[in-house]
Amino acid sequence: MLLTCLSVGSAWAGERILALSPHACEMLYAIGAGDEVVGVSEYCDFPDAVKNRPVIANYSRLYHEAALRLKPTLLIASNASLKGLETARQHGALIVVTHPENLQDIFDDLHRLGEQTGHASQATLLVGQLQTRLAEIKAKTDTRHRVFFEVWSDPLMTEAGNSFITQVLDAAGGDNVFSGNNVETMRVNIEAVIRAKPAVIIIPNRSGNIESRKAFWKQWLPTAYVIAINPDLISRPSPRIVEGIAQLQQQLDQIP
Amino acid sequence: MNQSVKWTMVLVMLIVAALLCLGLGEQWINPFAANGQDAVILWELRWPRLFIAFTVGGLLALAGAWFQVLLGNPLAEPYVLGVAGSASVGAVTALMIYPESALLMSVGAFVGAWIGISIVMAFAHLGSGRMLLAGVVLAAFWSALLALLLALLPRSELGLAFAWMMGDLSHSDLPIPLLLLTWGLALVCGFFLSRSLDALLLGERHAEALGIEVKRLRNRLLLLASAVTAIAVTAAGTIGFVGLVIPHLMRLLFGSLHRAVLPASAIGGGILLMLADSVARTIVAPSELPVGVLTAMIGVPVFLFLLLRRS
Repeated sequence: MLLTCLSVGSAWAGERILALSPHACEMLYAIGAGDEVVGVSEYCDFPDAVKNRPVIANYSRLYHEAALRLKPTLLIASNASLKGLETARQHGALIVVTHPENLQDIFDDLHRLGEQTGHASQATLLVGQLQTRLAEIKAKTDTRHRVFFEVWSDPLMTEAGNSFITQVLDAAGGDNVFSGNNVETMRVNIEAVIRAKPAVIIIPNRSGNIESRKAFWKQWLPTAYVIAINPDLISRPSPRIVEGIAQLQQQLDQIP
Repeated sequence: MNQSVKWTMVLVMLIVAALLCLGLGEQWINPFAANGQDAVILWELRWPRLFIAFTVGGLLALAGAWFQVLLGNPLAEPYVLGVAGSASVGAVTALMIYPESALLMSVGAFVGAWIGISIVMAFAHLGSGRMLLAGVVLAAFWSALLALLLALLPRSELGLAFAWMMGDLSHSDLPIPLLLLTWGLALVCGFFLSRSLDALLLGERHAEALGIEVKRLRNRLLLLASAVTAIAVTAAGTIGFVGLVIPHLMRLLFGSLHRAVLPASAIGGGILLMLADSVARTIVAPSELPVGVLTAMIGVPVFLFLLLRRS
């Protein structure tokens, strides 16, 4: 038993991982591969430990010189066409792309990353816990509400179609009023929101102007409830999504 | 065609454009018989938007007409001279200092526009050719600076920056009465300046022979055109082509006398922007397109067609 652990440990000890998107960072830490992460991208901010890691990419490019200096063996990217990725590949690093488009993809990618980094058993355990929690939330959800999700206030933007957010809202008991539009992130005319008559408006709680956004929506949709939520919890395809769905479900549940 | 027939045409166009602007949108609303929710949308969303489109379009066209006489060059307009570029740099700088504030962004645009204009004005005494050249070079400089700032801007702010750079009429941070007042004042100033402008169009010497103080006229005109541009850019972001296309269009229609060209441009610019905005928020409803895309797509073919017919 000890022997197998040791041999597994030594086989993977050399892995040096660059996490090139916030959700990849969160996934790696959640399955216990955090210690092997040697570099992160600019917007990786969870868990706190990633803030000490050198930043070697932003959303559009890998800073390939700084990245190669870290001698990476494995790069986890959310976008295969990230500039500079090809250079790392030529230098012998393995590239794994994770771009979850629904909850099942998150679970699949957790398994995949687990196998890739030698943390398969932790990944399996985590996915099991997440799925149990999700089932509990689903069992609690009995009322459904028509919701509008505000991604950005100026210009007014939303997530439509069968986007990730639409599915997250659905799991929490919300029906996205723009799920019928075949676009993902879109600018939306305020007229269309008024006409769609959402019962609930979800705004991001980071904007610092929650009160003015609430007043804004009260003016146009006096009967709608406005709730604020941490957007990182529900728009980032990371394991924390289940926590986000739980919070959202709880808030939606309090609405008559 | 005599003048009164032409004016009637312009006014009919204005009414048609206004009705389209009020009626079109995410869903058709009859502007004369709206009630309930439609009435709220009509009165509180579409009417304000109509006024923003009309005044901004008119101001940009007036500024374009003035810049063209001022520089004696048909290519001149606020955008060619780099004024829009410096305004964008000001706006994006404001976004970097204090994110998520559209108001501060407008102030930044205003300051940026003034800085851009002041630099162009420093070349005024060297003649219009050099001033235009300086403007073109500055425009390139501002766009490089803008690219630098956008590369440094946090990703979350890019949406606002891009929306603004292609023009956004969904709301204005300047109150609508102020915009209407500016439009009216600009029109009155233009009326008083129209004879001097006609003289200037024939050449500086000709104007001086008529007893016009060319230098003073130039400075006044530059200040006026710049202030008007700054206000239009502050209200709606950067919208191209209105200032270039409309004055030429009105010259083709009314001849070169500014007594007719200036008021016609002030109305014509408004018509073009109202039409462009109506289309921008209809063809991809419930989403909307940046209005600057539409002004180019409507303005350029119309302009080329008229140029061909004319020759």
